[in-house]
Amino acid sequence: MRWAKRLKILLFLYLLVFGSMAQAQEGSRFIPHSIGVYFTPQGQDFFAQDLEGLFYNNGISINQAYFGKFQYETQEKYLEEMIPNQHQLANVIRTLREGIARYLVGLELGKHKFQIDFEDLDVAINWRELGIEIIDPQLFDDELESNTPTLTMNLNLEVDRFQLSVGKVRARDINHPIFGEIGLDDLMISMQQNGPALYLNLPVNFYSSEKKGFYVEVGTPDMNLEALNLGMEYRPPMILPSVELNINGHSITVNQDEVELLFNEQKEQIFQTAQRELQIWADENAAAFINQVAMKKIDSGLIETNTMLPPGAPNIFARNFEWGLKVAGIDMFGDHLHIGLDGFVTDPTQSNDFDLDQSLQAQALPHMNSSKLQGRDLALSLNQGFVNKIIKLSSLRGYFSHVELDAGESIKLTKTPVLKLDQKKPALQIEVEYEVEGIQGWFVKNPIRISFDLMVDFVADAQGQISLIGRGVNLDTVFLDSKYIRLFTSKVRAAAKDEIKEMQSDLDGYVIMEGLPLPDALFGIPMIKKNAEIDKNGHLLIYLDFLKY
Amino acid sequence: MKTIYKTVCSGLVLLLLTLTAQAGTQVGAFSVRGLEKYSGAKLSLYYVSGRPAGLGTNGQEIHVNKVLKGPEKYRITGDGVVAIKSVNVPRDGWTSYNYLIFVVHTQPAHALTNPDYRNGRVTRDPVRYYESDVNIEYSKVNNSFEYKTYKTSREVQQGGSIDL
Repeated sequence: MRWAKRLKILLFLYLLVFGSMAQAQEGSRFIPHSIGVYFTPQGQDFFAQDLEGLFYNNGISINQAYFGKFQYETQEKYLEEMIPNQHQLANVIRTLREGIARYLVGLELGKHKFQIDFEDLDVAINWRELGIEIIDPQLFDDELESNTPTLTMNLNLEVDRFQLSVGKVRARDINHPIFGEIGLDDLMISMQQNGPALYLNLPVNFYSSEKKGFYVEVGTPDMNLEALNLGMEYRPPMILPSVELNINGHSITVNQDEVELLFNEQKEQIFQTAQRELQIWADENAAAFINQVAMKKIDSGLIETNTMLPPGAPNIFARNFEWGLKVAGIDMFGDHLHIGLDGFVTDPTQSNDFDLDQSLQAQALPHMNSSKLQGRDLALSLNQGFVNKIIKLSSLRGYFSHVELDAGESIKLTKTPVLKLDQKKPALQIEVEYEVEGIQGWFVKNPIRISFDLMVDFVADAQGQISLIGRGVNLDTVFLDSKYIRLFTSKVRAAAKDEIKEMQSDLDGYVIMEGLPLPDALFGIPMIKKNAEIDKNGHLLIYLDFLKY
Repeated sequence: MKTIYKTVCSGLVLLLLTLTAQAGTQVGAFSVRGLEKYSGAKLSLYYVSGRPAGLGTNGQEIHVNKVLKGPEKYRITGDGVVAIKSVNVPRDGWTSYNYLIFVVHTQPAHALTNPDYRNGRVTRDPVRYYESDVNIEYSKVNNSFEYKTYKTSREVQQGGSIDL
């Protein structure tokens, strides 16, 4: 069904976004919807095909884990308090403890604090299913309520093989060292082949509101922990404390073989009890626990930071800019999954950052045309404001002070170029310095500065590079300030316009910047840019395909 | 028949995963070239579990989840070629070894950092190391470098050479 597209991509995004991003703070100079990512159904499938490889590319192993040494400590509690929902057993233990305290001297049982050491702990998982069902709730609600999620995601996991092996387990009560240690060697716990697969279904709702911004709510997980058929093996004998009673000089010892036999007889029941308790915890507390952990991060925003080579830098050794993206919203655009990202970019060599003028930023979300996405894996939208901030930072380093022309000539740029895509004739607004020569020079105060709109277009080549191409000067925008004119203002201005008019044919098709430094990979998956176009709301739209890697 | 085949295969996969877990990943010897201009400088090599930028661009850094092996230290000689010895990269938790980070520096020790974000600005945070005895003091001097780049673990072939 169209509304329910099985995705694996969001699981990946979810883990990356919520698992490893730093927390954003107030005061950041974020440009709203700096970048929009639109995954088509075809692009979603690409992710789904090799989720394991995708995680690997990002340094995560999802089918195996290894811990050389691992220690776990319980909270300090009386033994009966460690057995929830087992009131009968708890009462027996309490009575026993009180009896020991009353009748035996030299054995005081207080609160226990168990410490368990694991060595060579190895986990291996075989995923039968690892996916996500995406539901666009907006398609169901005729009258949308304010609390309708923008997107609902059902996380579906199914494990048909699971194996946990531990080289050595040793447990002790650090409050009662008298008991020594109990333990097992070469312990192996695994799902039995004739048993059911472990499944987990977790509903996750994404919301976006003016009051609370972007947030996530996790529902109660549906899982079958209790039904699992787990088996356990270990290399005997068990490590048990040596217990010896002395009655009038006669020594009585505990038969360790019988204790071990009892453990083996009861191990199935022990597993069932543990599984039942975990199931109860999952049913009653897991959602609240996950929401608490997730919202701690999401409440204050999430941001991923990295570095980029400044456009126009003379070489790769230039100090990189620093930039960051924050998830601002996740929703559906038709069949396409849309992730909106607010962004910032700064220059670490500049002590003070600055806000970009609102007029230089896109004032609305991109007007994405669904038909243009046909046959592509994804599209990216780049807010002109984000691009302008980068250009401004490069300009401040002097990278865009000159534009090299053919025949070794260059034009001096006297203002930071501004990209304006949200106007009738999208253009790069520039101001150049020019020395008027000959008799005409008598009528001006050299050097003069002329500003104009150089109309632009973005063109992709067969190699997947996008270049910024000039489409001539918008003559209506040519401006020469009167402070540069000595005599005959109108005639001088007309002459300046004529001069630029003569250059029109040269500027139509002129490559302003070849191979723009645009994103070329998504989470490590290389992409090839197939097409680009200008969005009238002030965004550059890039259509891309993933490359096999 | 199909079910039996799948069961056997799954079992073998699990067995192999278990057997390879403790051994880690053996990375064979290889050489790097193209460092002539840094003759006399030091090369610190980190074998890491890391992730690229969500949207990769020129100049991006690998965000290091954990340094699994290293820094392995080498001296760059006049011909700009450095012979990298074979190492065993250990497994650790849910991480996977997937990147090598090469840093050319002149100070005695280099401290690898990740870009992070706190209190409204980008910060540099020291990375985590698998080997607990690695103790490189983080300072502006130790964080500095002449040249830094990375390769994926798949790009490094035993006995091969790569251009930096």
